[in-house]
Amino acid sequence: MVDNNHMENMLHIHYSPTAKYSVGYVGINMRGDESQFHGVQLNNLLWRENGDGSQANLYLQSALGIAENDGDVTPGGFTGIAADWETRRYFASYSNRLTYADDIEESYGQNARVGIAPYVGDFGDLHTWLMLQVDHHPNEEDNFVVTPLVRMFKGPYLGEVGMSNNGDALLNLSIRF
Amino acid sequence: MKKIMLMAIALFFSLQAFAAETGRIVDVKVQGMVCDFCAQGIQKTVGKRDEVKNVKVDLDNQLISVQMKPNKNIDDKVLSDLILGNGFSIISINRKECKTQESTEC
Repeated sequence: MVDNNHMENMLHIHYSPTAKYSVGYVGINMRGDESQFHGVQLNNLLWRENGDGSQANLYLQSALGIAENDGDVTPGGFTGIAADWETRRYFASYSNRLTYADDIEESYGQNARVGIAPYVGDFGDLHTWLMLQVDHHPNEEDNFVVTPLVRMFKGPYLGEVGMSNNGDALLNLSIRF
Repeated sequence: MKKIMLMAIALFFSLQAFAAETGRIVDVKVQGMVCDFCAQGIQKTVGKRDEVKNVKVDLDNQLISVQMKPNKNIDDKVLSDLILGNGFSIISINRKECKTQESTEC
């Protein structure tokens, strides 16, 4: 998974032995100060509700690793929760992340999304979602950033393209192996 | 006696031919399978089993149809574990015999 937005560029390669958890590498480049984080990320499914035509999930996402900025290297990590609910027509999600890496990075951020599918496709079709993402980073100059985006997926490929209210591009790509 | 032997041989080969053409389909009704991207794992994990010929995913009806290879079967427990491992809940498992391997009219 590759995520690029106004705050960061992130690469996440993970393996899910079961639906309950995944483990893998995470690399983050913070666009503001060009600091980097490389670590091992563990995602735990805390709760799942499978409904008749819906699914809701709650995850704990944590990582430990090293942060680097301008030659300084320090241990660091982050933790946060991610929740989502979706039907074949509607989508909503929320996630937050608390990051700590001594003098290099100490931040808190959260984001929420709502989405609607303009059409409901069958399995194997090209699926399209129109989404609105709101990012909140209390320590940043732009506290709130709003990003309309389009999510499209077909088979094991999922891509997202959007542009925030301050003109930054959002480009995300996920591939299931 | 010779006629009876010939009839027995003919009957044996007829039954063999019928058995080879018979196809077994296992329909699994699930809950929570709302996302195509998330359901990709089902087709992959169930489809790579030796005894499975094809897997069809029906998001509208929350149905996973597993078509078995000739004279092959899959245990309910094995199939359940694969589907639960992908994060979906199972409502029911129904087995049906089809006239031919290619037929879905059972």
